[in-house]
Amino acid sequence: MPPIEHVLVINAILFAIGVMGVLTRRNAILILMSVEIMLSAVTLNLVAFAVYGKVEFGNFTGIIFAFFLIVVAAAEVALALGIVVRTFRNRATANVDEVNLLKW
Amino acid sequence: MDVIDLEYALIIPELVLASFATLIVAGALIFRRVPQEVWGYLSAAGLVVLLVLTAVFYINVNDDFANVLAVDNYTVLFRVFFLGIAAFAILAGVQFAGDRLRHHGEFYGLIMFATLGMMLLAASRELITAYLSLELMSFSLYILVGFNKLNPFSNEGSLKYLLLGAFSSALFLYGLSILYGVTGTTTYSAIEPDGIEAGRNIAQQLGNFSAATIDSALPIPGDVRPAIIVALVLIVAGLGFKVSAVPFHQWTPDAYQGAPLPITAFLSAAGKAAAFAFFLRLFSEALLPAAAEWSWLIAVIAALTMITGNLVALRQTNMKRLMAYSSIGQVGYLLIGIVALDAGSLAESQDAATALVLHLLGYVATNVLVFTALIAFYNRTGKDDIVDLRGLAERQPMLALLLSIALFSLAGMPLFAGFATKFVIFQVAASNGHLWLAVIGVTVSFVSLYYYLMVIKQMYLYKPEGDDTGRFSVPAPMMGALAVLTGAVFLVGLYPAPLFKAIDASTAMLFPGL
Amino acid sequence: MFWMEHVWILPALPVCAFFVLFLVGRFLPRGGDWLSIGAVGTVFGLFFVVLIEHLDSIADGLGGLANSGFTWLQVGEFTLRIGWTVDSIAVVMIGVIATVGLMVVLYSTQYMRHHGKPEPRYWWYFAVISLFIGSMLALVLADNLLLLYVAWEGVGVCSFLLIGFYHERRSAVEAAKKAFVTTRLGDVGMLIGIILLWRATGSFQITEIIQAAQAGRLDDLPQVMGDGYLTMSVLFLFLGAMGKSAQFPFHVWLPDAMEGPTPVSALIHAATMVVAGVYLVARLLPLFDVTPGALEVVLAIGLATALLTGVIALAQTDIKRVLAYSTVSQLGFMFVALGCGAVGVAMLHLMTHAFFKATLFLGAGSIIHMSDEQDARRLGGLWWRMPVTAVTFILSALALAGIAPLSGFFSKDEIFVVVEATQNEAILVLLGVAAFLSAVYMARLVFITFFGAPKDLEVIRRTREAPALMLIPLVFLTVLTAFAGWFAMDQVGDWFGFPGGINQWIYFPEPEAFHFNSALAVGTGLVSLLGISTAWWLFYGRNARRAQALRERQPRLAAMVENKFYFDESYQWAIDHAVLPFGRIVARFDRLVVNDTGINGPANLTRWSGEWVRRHVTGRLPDYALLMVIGVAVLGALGFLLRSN
Repeated sequence: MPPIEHVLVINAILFAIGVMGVLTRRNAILILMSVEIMLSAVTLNLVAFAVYGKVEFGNFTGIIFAFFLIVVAAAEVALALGIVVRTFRNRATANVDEVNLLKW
Repeated sequence: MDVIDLEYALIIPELVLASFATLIVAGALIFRRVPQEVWGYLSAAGLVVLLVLTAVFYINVNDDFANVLAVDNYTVLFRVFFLGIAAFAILAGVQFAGDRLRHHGEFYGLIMFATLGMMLLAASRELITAYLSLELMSFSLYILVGFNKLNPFSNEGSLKYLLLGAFSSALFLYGLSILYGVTGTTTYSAIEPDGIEAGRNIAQQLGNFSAATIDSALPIPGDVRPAIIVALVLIVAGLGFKVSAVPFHQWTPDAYQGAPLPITAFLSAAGKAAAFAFFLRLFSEALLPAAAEWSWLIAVIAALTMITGNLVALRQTNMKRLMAYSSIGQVGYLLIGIVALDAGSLAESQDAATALVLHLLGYVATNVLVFTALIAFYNRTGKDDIVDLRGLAERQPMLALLLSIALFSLAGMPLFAGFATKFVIFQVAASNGHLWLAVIGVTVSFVSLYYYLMVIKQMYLYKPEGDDTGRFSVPAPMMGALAVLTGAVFLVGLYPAPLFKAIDASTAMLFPGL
Repeated sequence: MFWMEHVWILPALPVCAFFVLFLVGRFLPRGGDWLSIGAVGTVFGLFFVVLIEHLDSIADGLGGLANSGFTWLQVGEFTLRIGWTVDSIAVVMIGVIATVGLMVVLYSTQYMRHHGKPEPRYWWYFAVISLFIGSMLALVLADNLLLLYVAWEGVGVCSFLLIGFYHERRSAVEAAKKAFVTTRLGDVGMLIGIILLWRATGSFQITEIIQAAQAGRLDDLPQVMGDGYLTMSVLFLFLGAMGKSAQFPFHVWLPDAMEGPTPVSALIHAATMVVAGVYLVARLLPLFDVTPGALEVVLAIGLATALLTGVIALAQTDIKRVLAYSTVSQLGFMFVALGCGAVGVAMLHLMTHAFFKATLFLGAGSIIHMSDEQDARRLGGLWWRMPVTAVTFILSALALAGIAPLSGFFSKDEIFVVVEATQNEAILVLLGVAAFLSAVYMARLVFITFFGAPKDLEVIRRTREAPALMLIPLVFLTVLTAFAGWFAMDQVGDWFGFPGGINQWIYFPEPEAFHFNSALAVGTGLVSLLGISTAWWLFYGRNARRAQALRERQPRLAAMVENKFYFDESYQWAIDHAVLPFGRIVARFDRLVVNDTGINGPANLTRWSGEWVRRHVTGRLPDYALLMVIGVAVLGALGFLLRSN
């Protein structure tokens, strides 16, 4: 197995990509996708720790956490899409730049 | 593997609440002929009954469920609290919802699901459960904020809340994952302090670090301090979002302004309280051994939050937004309580925890009072800008008086709860070695008086404007609720000692071995 | 000892009356004055109960002390208590407050009416008076300095509200402000003193502070200010006493306070609030005793005040102002007694002064109410129009002048006794001069007001005797004035149950017996008679020509005295010529630096930064997210900077 640092670095890069996506994307759905990428990075992180640390830790908690996380992420997306659709129906746009009636 | 002992009797309140919520939602769907208010009153009644039963049966139980939930006095305190606030929010919302919202069954049901999430959050002694409860609460709140489907503000608030919430959740989780990687467990602390069932737990692991910087039994070789710092920063970022700390607070004014008023009240009161309940339990049970690593962090955030919240509040014109920023300012004081956990001895840390919960309860009660008054006003006039309150003293003197009392309490004037609770927090912070935070807190308190007075000035010194300037009456149950809350504000302000002792008994649960 | 332990009920009753009156007073019949009377009357009744319990406790050898309370707040090691103490000093004060309070409240029911109809805001008057009485009681019962300070502020606020009662009159509003500001200055000093003592002893409890001081624990605190820490804190405390009791140089507010209704002057500015300073020093005398220099300062200030204001009183023309300056002067006497370490004597004079001064003020009120005239120069020859008022007034004036066997004689005489014990002839002589002056100005007032030919026939025609409800309090208080002094004597005291006379009863570490020094008594009696004769020679009837001639021969001296030594003017001048140009420089400095930058500055800065931050809340979601990420990055960087070893 490669050393754990490699895995962690890849996850970190993945996470960073997600963050960049949230910051630069204008479309709400794309922002959601970026958040999903971030969550995937976290999931992989948890799995990595669980697998690499199985001996010392004596538990699989990370993997269990990852399972829950996958489900929650899916629920979150469903929820978010509902709200985005509602926004689209009201404002005819999914562009977050334009959705800024509330400010200051 | 040991057989995990499942004592379901401990979580009956949560199970009942879940079923009740489902029943309400289903019932409203099936029995469409029943008027909507019935579901509201039914929900509120159910919550009150549950509250009483919880208080009666679960005091001093002090046990835990499956090593995952702790049912101790701390949990019971917050259970009672959340149920109470939810009942209040529902009662306040019944008339509001009747005129302006559709799908009432889901409205009440969602409030109850959110409450369920909060109760579980306060009880969690383990990260996975905590995260799930947190998301349960958050999802319900995302929907509730946007419940006014056709209102663009409501939509927008909900969208921003959701997207930023998801983003912050992801940050939070990343931090959690690193924490897991460094400690190898997600349990906060040992079940029994003398380690009869001392499995690996976070507090224990972090405690090991303080002694030596390297722990060879980890998958991450070398010094783990950078990893801990990163994990802490991310965790605090995520939690900071939920409690509206600066710089993670920007969703708050939009969500508060956009949401229907009863939900704003619920969000600002219970939402914040739940997040802090979690914050406190996590930091005092799990992360306390690493206090040196995070106390500066939270101190900086506390200072920023106090200053920013109060500064921006000065410039607000909308009541909901004003209350949002006022809440942000108050969060700063609460965060001082967290910082004060970093003290010389466990007893002093416990004092900090008690001070925090005391201020939290006082602040929440007062906030609910303000929002209920605003709801009463909104029900009649449909307006929520500050200038709309002009002349309220003439139109509804009792309402104006109670609202003024609440605002004075938030500003920290003596005789009211706000003074006593703030005094306690500042005093604890000062004696635990964080005097500068207390100084900032007191200074900022003075500043906050300005914008609270601004509102009071509108009510008392101006004549009512616009077309609708006659006297109006507030329905008796609402007035009753306002009176009860005001009484509580006075009581805590004049004689805080008994409440203080009660809270002390519950926070003692967080510091086993004390 | 039920009532001694639950003595908190005494202040609670009038305060409750206040709350009820505040909420519904205007709707009650007769404006709710009966509620106020009921509350104060009950306190009056309870006073006797407490007194009996207290005496019983002394007789049982328990020393007559009681202290109870509860913990208001306890955070870790830090405890705040609310508690009350009953001892002889407190009992005397309760007696004074309750008696004069009840008389004043009864009197006010008539005074606050104009031709039978109650004045506007009648109900508010009774509400605030009730609150005042409650606060004053709380003040004398408090066992810790913090509670005392809160009650101190409370009576100050009530005084402010009552002075400014006729707030349509500009002069009244100004007077109220002046009173408040002047006493405020003193109060700030007092608060500093309280905090200093707290930091040194860790406690607000009076008994603990006194113990610490006596044990010498307060003398060396090198880390703060070294020697003189104790002296400084005690002197700061005394500043508060000076402010409240209108001692020089804080005396300027009391005469102006006469703008308030006369019963208010009787209650607050003669008998109770202004003696709060005396009470404070009396209560803390063990502390002052061990503080080097403190007692000397008290004595000096008291003496200076007594002399100065005594002289000013000579030239005043408004009845109430004469009485006001007289009050300040008499307070000076009390401080002189305290400065000699004699608590019992000071408290005795406090009590007798309360009775006769209240009578004088109520009598003045009677005159003012019936004749609509306050300027003594327009009165004269009233004694046969208002006989009862005249008799009570004259008796009280005689008491003030120190004529035996009235109470004032005994208390004043006792002061001379203790001053004589200090072996300092200068003080004795100066005090004698002050006593002489008090006789002169009181006699002058009596002669001008009651005797001689009436100056204004119109005034005389419309004046007749006051209604019964105003006269009864007058008479009652006069009786007390006449006979209260006898309690000071051993024999009488014994008969009533005060072992050893009042001085021995007012418990002090070394109880003093009542001394009767015949030589001094005769001496002071002569001084008083001399004073009265002088006044008669200068002012009575046609003799007034002599006073006029004196004035013409010494115009500048006369002007100085008449204008109260220009104290108000000099303060105003100082404000005009020192503070304001320093404030025109400071006004420019004030406008540019302090105001624009310093005060408006932070205000503007606060507003601008609030605005700046607010504008950053653009409403655009990516901006929100960006800020969060920046936050995380910065915090992370900080973390690495601060926490890497």
